[in-house]
Amino acid sequence: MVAPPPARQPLLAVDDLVVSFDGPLGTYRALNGVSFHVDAGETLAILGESGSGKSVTVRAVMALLPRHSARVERGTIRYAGEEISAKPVRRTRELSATEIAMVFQDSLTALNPVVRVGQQIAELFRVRQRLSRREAWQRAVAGLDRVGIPNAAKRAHDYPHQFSGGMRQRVVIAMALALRPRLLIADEPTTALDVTVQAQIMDLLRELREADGMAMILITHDLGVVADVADRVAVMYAGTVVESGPLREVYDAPAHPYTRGLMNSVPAPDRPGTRLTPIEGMPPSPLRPPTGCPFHPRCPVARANCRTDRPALRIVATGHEAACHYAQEVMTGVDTVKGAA
Amino acid sequence: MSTPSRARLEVRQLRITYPAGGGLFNRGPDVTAVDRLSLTVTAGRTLGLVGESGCGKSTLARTIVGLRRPAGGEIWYDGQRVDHADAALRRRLTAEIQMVYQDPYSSLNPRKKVSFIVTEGWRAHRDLVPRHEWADRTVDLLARVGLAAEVADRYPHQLSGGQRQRVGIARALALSPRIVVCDEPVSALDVSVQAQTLNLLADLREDLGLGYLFIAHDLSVVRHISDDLAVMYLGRIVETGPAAAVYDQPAHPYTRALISAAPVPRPWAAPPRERIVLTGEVPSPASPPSGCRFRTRCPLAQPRCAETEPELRMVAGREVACHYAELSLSGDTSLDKAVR
Repeated sequence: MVAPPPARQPLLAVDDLVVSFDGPLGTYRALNGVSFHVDAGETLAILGESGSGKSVTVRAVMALLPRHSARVERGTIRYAGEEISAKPVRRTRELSATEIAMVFQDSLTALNPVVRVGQQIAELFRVRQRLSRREAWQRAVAGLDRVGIPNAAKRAHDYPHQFSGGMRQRVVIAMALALRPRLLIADEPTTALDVTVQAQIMDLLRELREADGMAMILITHDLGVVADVADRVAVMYAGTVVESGPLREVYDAPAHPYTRGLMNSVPAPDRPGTRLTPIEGMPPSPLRPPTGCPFHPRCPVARANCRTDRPALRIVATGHEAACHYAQEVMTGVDTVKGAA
Repeated sequence: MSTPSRARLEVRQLRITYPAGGGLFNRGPDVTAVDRLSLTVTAGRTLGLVGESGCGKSTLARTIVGLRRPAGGEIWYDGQRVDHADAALRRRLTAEIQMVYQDPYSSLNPRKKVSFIVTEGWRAHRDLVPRHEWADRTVDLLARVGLAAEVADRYPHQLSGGQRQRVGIARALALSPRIVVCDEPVSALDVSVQAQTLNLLADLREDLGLGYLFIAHDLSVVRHISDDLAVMYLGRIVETGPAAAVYDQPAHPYTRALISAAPVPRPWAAPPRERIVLTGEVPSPASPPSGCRFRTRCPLAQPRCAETEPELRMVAGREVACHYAELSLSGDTSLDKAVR
C-alpha cells in the first residue's frame, strides 16, 4: 500500500467571491461567485473579455478595490492556507510587499515619474530588507540586468520616461520580482506592446518564473498568449468563472459553450478567409443580469432550465470544471440540441 | 502614362514627413514617417498592411484619405491625381474613398445621435441623397451593418464598442464608397465581437465590391481578411505580395519574426513553427539606421546591410527588400535561434 499523497494546499485559493459596486446607475455585482486556485509554481491564466471581472478579481485578492464604491459581500481568499480575507487589510499589504507581486498593463503609471528607476527598486531593498543605500543600489542594478536591460548600471540612473514601452515593462517586472515573490500577478502585461516586444516580455516572464519557481496568475483576453505560458486556464464570463482546467483540455475540449464560442471566434491561420463563427449578441449589462445561466441569452445550446437555474461549477474531467447544465454534451461536441431561446 | 482601371487606388513613391520636435525657432530637419512607398488597392480586394506602432501605417492611411499632405510622390484614383485634385474631384474623392477608424469611442461625436452621425456625409454632399429619403436610407444602412432601426435615436455612449464600430462602418458606407481604408478596425474590440465585425466587413466587400486597405497589427486577423499583404517597417514596405506567399513563406527576416512572434491559440494543433525573438525595439524614425532600416535587429545582418539600402525586388512571387531574401527564404537556421 502506498501512502496517499499529502493533501495539496494551493498557494492561493479564492472561493465564492462576490463583489458589488455602487455605480452612478445603481449597485451591481461585478463578481458573482468567483472560485479558482493556483498551486505553488504553477501558471494560471484568467481569460476573459472586457467587463468579465478578471481585473476586479485580482484587485479583490490584493485588497486594491476602491474603498468607497466596492464591497466584498461574500467569499474567502486564502494565501498558503491563511484566510487573508478575514484579516485586516494590513496583512494583505504585508504579503503584497514580499510574497505577492503585481505587474499592470500600463507601466507608465506603475512607476514614479520623478524618481530614477534604480532608486525606485533600491527603495524596496532599503525598506523591506534594511539594506544599506549602496547595497540596495547594487541589488537594483542587478535586478535591472536580470530582466535584460542593456547597460543596467547606467540606465538605473534614468527616469521612467527615458525608457521605451518594452524596456519600461521590464523595469516594472524587475521591481515586482525584486523581493523574489512566490506569486506574480500579471494583469495584461503585454497588451500595450507591439508583437515582437510582447514575445520578448513573455519569454522573459517564462524564464524568470522557471528560475524562481514562482507561481503566476496571468490575466489576459488573448487566447494565444494564454496558450504560450499557462499550465491551467480559468475562463471568466459576466463576473464568474465558467470553466477551468488544464490548458490543453480546456482548449481542445471546451465544456462550456462560451469557451467554445471564443475558440471559434479566432481566425485560424490555416483556414484564411473562411467565415468566422462569432458568439451572437453581446455580454449582459451587470446592471441587468440575466436570470439562470448568465450566458443563456447568447448560448446556442440553451434550453428551458438554463433560463431559470444557474449552473454551478462541476467536475467534467479530472481537474476540469465547467458551469453548464449541458457541459458533457458541449464537451463531446454534440451540437444537435438547439434551444428555442 | 498608365491609365489605371476603375476604382483603383494607387500610391506611388509616397513620402510623408512631419516637422521634428523642438522649439519654435530651432526646428530640426523634418522626420520622414513614410518613405518611397508604393501600393495599390483594387475594388473587390483587400490589401492588408501590417507593422508595429510607429512604422507609419496610420500616417499613410490619413494621407490617402486626404487628411494629410504628402511631401512627395503621387496618389492616383480612377486615372486621376488625387494629391493635385481640383475642388470637383476632391468632392468626389471624399465620397468614394472612406475611412473606418480604430477607436469606436473617440471617432463618433458624443453629442450627436447616431442618425446625425450616419447622415453627416449627406450634409456635405447635398446632391447625393435627397433630404426626404434620409430617414429611410439611415434605417437601411443600419440594417446593412446589423443594427436595429432604434439605434438611430441613440447616442454613442448608449452603445457597446461593437455597435459603435458598426455605426462607424455605416457612416463610411453612407457615401457609397469604392475604397475603404480600415485603420485597425477591430483591435479595440473583444474577440467574440471582433469576429462579428470581420464577418460584416467580408460580407460588405462581397456585396458592394469594396476595396479595402486593411491596416492592423494583429497578423491572424490580417491574414484572415486579406488577398494581398504588405509589411511595413520604419516607414517603408519591406515585403509585399499575395497573402498566402507572404504569410506562409515569408522572405524578409522581419516578416518571419513578426509571424513567428504572434501567439496562436492552439500551438500544439498548428504545424510546427520557427520561433524568432528579435532583440531590441523599433528605432526612432527621426534617426533611422543607415542602409537597411531593419539591420539593427536583424539576425542575418551583414556589413553590406549598413552600407546599401535594399530596394524591393521580386523573389519567389513577392516583392521583398532584403539583400539576403533568398537565404532567409531557404530558412537559414541562424535565424531560428533566439538571440538576446
